[in-house]
Amino acid sequence: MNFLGLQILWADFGKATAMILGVAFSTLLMAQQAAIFVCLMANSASHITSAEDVDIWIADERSDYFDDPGVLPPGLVDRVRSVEGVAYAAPFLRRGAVVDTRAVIEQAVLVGVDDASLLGAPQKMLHGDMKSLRTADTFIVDRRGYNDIWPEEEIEIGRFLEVDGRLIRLVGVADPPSPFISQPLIYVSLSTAALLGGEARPSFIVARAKDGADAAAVAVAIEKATGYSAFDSKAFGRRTIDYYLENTGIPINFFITILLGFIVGAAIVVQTFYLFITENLRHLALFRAMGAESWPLIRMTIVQCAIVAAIGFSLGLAGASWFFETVPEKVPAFKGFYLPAGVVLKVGAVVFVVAFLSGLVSIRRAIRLDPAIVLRG
Amino acid sequence: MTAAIECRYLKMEFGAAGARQTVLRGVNLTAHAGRLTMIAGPSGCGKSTLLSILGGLLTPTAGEAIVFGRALSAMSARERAAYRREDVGFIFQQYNLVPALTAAENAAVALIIAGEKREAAVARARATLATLGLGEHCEKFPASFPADSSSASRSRARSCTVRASSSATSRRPRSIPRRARR
Repeated sequence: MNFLGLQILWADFGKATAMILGVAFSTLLMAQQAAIFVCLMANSASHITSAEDVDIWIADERSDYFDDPGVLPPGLVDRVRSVEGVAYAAPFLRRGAVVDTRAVIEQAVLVGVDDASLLGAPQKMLHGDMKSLRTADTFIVDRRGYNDIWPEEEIEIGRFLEVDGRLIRLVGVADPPSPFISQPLIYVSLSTAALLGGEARPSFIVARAKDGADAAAVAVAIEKATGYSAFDSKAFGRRTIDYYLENTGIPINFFITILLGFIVGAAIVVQTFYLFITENLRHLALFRAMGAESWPLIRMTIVQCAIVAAIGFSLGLAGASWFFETVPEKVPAFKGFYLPAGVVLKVGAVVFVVAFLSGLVSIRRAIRLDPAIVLRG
Repeated sequence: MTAAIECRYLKMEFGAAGARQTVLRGVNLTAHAGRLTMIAGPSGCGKSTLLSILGGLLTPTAGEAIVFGRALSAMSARERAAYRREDVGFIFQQYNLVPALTAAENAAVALIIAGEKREAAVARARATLATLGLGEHCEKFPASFPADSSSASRSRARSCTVRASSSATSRRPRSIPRRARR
């Protein structure tokens, strides 16, 4: 029976192609948009989750998320260090800054790390050494930021940049995970930050729990001891992502695009498959007249749907994979973006369920069909 | 002599009340096993309707159709499907060939529906078509018949294709008790 179904399906090449393209379009749009959304949200917490030497973040209680830092008293770091279970702790600065190259003036994000421990600094460097930040009046910039500040120029270590009115020297280029904010990231030591204009008090205290201690439990102990908000990295990352989910229009925008992809794809598949079944009702009636029962006809339809869904899904997934293989390499805004396996699985489930439902909706007519219609002219 | 088919006061009406049309008015018929029975009559007298009732495609308005001692009206939908699948060979007036299938595949449809594997069913259908002198048409699609056949041979080819399918499927009646079949 499945063989008969497939022969009938391929014989109507136009409709088979329309259904496959419908599924492919739907898969491409849903997978691509969902993956971009997931990566974008993950990027909002990328600094937190990628800081391997830090697993506890202490923040001002009015600070909602990572990109909304408060101002903490400099002495707080000592109180944190005294809490049971804390291995080490250091101040961490994050604030806006203005960079001026004479050719370009733009907003940047200034990240100040503790001179001694360099806690919270990026792990991966493209040029130079993070330890060079211990030299006064030096900075490290991220790769994308370098291109923004000095567009189309080769990397040149030792060049100067005016940050908040003071000239500081480039000692390295880092390759941190993509941040949510697209502004350049300027890494300096806290001593250098204190020499620049603007706030130099810590925005966060970053800490690490002792080996064997639970970071979440230590965070609770820090909260009790200091009265400031403390989170383990996972919770703080989640809090940051939740902020963007709840307070920006990003989820709605992506949801609408994904929904449109779903609706358009589903409409094409359901409508075309319904038309396909309707045009083949006479053949289905013939099979019933020759003794085919309902289940073999349902199975035949499911196989038709599964083939259409599998080919369309594969094509759409190939398109989405191609996008994430090529675009992030060429477009800095998409750096680090990828197609998460969870997105592939969920989109696949949606596509196959829609295909099967469209088949089942259509096959209802065939099941209720009076086989005697084959006798009519 | 065993009665293979018995019809008792078979009545068939079509249409809703007010526009009802009676096609069969109390038909009584007995067809014996092992004999060729032909039904003749003018157009519209109900021959096809009678055969459709006997084939399990239509349910009579009244009366009883009994095949090998078993009343068709007493069969469930599933039993009727099995009866059509395993005991009845159809040659439809419109042939009802599936355009997507070759002549051999069309002839194999009944076997495939009856549960035979595709390769075996198509091979049997090919052999049957070859026996009927239609071996050269096995791989042709129904739409290609008019292109290379005269009207008469095309008609013969089509009916033979369906006949091959029908005869192939009637090889081993299963929904009728074995004793009654004999």
